[in-house]
Amino acid sequence: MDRIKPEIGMKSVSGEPIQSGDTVITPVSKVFTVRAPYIDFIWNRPVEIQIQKGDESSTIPIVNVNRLAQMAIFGFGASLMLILWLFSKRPVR
Amino acid sequence: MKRMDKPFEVISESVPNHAEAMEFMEKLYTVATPKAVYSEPVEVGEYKVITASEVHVMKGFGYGGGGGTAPSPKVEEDQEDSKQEPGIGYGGGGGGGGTATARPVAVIEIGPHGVRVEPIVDPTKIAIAFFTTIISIFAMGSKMKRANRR
Repeated sequence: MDRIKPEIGMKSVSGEPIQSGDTVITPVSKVFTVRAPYIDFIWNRPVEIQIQKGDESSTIPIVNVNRLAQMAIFGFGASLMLILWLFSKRPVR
Repeated sequence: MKRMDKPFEVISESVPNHAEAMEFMEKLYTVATPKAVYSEPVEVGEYKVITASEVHVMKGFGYGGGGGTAPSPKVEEDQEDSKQEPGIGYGGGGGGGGTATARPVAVIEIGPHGVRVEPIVDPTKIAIAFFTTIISIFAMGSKMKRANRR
């Protein structure tokens, strides 16, 4: 039996192109993998779609607005707590 | 690492469904493909709609095997003090668990006017993050006030 070798990796994976009229759309996702004996973690998220219309090609990124909002809220909260802590450490005159 | 191989072999031979368990774990790697993230296009009139989701999968398992010792060799029957030590056997077990989540992130709309990506907003997630932060700030603030009074 083969033993699993521990590995961590991130890679972009393109999906099957989708044809709609003269437009071809290729979805792209990013996969983060942690593989260890008896423990596995996979995080797969959409990143962008590549559009091919005739000779023109373009890319539209897919943004997770929920994560952005969460990071903004947590970042604001952490900054505020840090500022409050620093102010509390100042010597009282 | 060679010293670890022998116990591993014993475990893999003694656990009857080890091969099936490993096969099952390998199957879960189908999540690492764009098919798990992007849905099949749904046609609605002139439009095609594709859902883009974010997928997390975490799994772990562990188990132990067993073994035993052979009984001591038979001794002569005419020796009165002789005793044959019985063999000792031992076994093991195991278990595992995991979690899988998928949340929609955006909707891709393909129509006569072109391609559009519409993000999906989850107000529940944002509200939970907001209230968690507010409570943490208040908790920290009251702790600092108590510390300053001393």
